[in-house]
Amino acid sequence: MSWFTRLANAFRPGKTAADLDEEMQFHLDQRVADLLNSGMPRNEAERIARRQFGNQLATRESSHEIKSAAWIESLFRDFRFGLRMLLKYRTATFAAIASLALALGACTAAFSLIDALMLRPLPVRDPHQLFDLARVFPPFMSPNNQPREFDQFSYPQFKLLRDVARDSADLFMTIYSGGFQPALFNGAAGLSENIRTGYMDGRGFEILGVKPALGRLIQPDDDSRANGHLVAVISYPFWKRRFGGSPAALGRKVTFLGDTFDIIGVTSPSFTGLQPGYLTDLWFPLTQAADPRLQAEDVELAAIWGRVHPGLQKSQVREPLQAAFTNALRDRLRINPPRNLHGDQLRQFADQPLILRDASRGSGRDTLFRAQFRRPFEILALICALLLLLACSNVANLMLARASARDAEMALRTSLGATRSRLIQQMLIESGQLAFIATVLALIFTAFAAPAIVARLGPSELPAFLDVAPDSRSLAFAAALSVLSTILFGLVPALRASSTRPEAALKDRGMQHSARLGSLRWMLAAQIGFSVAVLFLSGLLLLSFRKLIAVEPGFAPDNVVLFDLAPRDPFSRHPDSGQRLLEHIRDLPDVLAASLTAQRPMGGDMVWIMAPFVRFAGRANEVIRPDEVPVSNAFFNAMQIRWIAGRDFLPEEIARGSASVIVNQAFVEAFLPGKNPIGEIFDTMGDDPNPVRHQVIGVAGTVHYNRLREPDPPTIYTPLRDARRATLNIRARSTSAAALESLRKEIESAAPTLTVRNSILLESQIDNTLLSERLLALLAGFFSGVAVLLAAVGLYGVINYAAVRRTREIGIRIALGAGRASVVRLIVSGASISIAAGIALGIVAGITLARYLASQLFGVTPTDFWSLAAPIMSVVLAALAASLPPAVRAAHADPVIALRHE
Amino acid sequence: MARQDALQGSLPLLILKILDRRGPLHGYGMTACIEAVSDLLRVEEGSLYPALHRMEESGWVRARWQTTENNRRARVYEITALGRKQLQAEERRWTSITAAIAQVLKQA
Repeated sequence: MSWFTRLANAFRPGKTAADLDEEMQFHLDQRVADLLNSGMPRNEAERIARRQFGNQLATRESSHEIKSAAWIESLFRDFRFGLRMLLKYRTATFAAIASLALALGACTAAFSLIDALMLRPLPVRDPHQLFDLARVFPPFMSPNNQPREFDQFSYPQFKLLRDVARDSADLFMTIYSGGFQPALFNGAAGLSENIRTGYMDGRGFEILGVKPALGRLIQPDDDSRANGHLVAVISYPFWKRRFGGSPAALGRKVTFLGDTFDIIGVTSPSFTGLQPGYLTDLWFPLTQAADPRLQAEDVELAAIWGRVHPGLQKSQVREPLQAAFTNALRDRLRINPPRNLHGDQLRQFADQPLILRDASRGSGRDTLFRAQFRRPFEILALICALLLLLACSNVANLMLARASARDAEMALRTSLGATRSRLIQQMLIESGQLAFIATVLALIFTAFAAPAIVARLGPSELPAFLDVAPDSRSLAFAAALSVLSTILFGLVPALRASSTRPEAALKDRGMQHSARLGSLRWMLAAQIGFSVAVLFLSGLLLLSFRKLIAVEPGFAPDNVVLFDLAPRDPFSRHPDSGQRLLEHIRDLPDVLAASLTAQRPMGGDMVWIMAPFVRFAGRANEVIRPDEVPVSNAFFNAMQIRWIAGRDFLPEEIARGSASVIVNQAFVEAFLPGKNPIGEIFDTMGDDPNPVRHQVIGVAGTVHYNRLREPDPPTIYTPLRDARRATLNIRARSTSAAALESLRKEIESAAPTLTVRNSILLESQIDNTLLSERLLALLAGFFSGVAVLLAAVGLYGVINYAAVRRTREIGIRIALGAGRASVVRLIVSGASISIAAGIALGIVAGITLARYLASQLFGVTPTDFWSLAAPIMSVVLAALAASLPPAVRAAHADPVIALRHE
Repeated sequence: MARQDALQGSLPLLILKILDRRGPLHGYGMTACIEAVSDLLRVEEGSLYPALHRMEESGWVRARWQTTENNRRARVYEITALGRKQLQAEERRWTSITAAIAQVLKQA
């Protein structure tokens, strides 16, 4: 029989069934006829024939299965039946689908984020062949005392390495996009726009395998300024955003740092740059547009990437590169030794090992963005996983309770010959239908949630870009997760339901309820446990965030605007102390105070802080390296930082440079305990190998200048000699957009050599340091709500089921004179053991998992009173709210009706 | 009386042999035939029909509806070429196994 016939038979079960019946009937009739012939009376003959034939129904069933790909047919039937059951128990179905959809959606959203940030290969040809270069220079260690990897090289180094590697790998050089920089597009009425620019050498796009979506990309002949044709390529997202995807974008001109470039092409839609998380709007040819110092031997500005030739290992490429690099370093030592190194450092200079880092997922070094959000995303994933377990146990509970209500149905089907696997199949199909609907809803949820989260990842001045559009990877993840959760929540109820003993179930359903409630109790405990764990972890994050935003930074951020300055000519070498600018600004009627600082307050992880060695006369170098922050005079006054002793800088000290420094209280406590710090003299040694002498003239209070999490380390405030890249803090009467714009104009007119690169309210700047914490707190709040809700729904289902089950018993109790209160107690106390066990489990799990959250926590420990009390109290309240209605309903039951209850 | 179960797997062999010798037959005809030849063997109808349908599925037999002399529809089975090949293989297997068992019984 062909597959086609079998399939066809599956769709018309009636036909095959009739055929089978006819065939067997024929057999029976023949047997009866034979027996009649042998002289047996008719009724006897029929009885014997029937007995010999055995269970006709079972025979038919097994023949039917052979004839008609019965499992297909049974799938169809179970599918229809499942839908009918889901519709019949509408409330339970809705609760199950809603909770599953939320949890699956949250998990899928978390996956998209993690995938986009850390897992997904770059959208270029054969990304596994890509590497980038780094080297280690032992004298320079990273803050955690690991050898620090340097991944910037000079252009001459690149040319050398490129030529050496020619037979085994293709190398190209690139500069990643940094923050926003102003550029002017023609036709934009002279208004500059903030864009992110990257640089790529002539072969970069070709080696990566990035294709143009429009026009052409940067080519080898763009590598020179000689032909005078300066070009630029824009990214697809930028093309869509800035030019509305219009082909007229080609041929537009953009002016950047004094040069004007023709836009010649658009990169392919998927390519957004070499660093996931950051978007590059505009690509310039490396050697046309980058810093002219790029060509110098000793200026290391750009990254080197490469692609190994097919069939070669990265290790095979390293040897020749290392040899050439070492030779180049030796030559450099001989001809032009680095001026900032001495002694031992110089001896180690030529021995820098070259590292080929895997760059298939973007640059081999973690970007700041990755470093910042890896742990928060992992925490998000952890909570989402717990949430999914919670939802699964919740659905399992609902299904168990419902399955118990269907004991009689299962018993009937078993006694009619349904096999156990057939019943399990049917139950699993019902679960699968639930999961399928939930998954579809989850994907819709993800499509909205993931971009909403991405929008909160970056500070306003540097928005994050993660491509979280649904793709085959996230779909596959959602599908796999949905199958997994179907098994998680569907199997236990299916196994239990299919193990119904027909005789017991059909005889008396009430008898079994205690055993059945047993498994319900366990599931209930698990469910409470998961929700307590979610609440516990979320609570830690919420409490941390509350404590964090309550931190007093030690300065007054209200109405302070920060203007980041930049020189109009980036290559000019004339410093400007900014004194004239400050005087002009301070005289403005709307300005309350103004000062300059080289280090923007609340830079968080974004800033590079100088940390020189310190040495006091007659003592060795101090182990602790204080921060060094250059500031103008009146900085402490303008920021309203507590003043402790001594005096401020005089304007002339700033202008001509001076040995005077101001230190903070932490500096005094660390280095000069018990002494009068004023007048103390010490040396610092930073990049400049010659020590610089300082004398303390004042002491300021220790503030939280860089981040709220911790007060500043010992800090030296030095006079700010060059304000060209400094930040101007202005405390203004008004911070309206108009007021800020007029301030900007004042700044640029008072200091014609400077431009305002960026401006931001100090309060927003503080908020920007709390991005990951705020995001996690927000999600934690949402997940806590969901967890409480799910706990309540699950409890309600189980307790309601138990109460209905015990209607007869309760009727008897009431008839015998039990009070309403005792009935309520009876019902509620039934669940209390599960709840207590669940709480204990959840707290233990939560405390175990809490160490993964450590980096995001602030001012709370897992064993604090509120850390523990908050989740427990929420769950207990939810439990009460969920169990009272069924209990009260049971207590008000009319004993007469209750006793008749079947 | 030995139940058919004692002869695990021999039912297809018997059916194929009967169909090969006697030509097309309906299910009842086969039971009658086996019972007529052997007092010992009796075919459970509950096994016969699933076995027949399985063999039909494997292409060893072909089935068609036929009208009997007393004007009833009967499903008649007939051996196919594939079935004949199967029969030879099964027969060889059966004789070698029974011979092997007999050998053991004699010499053990």
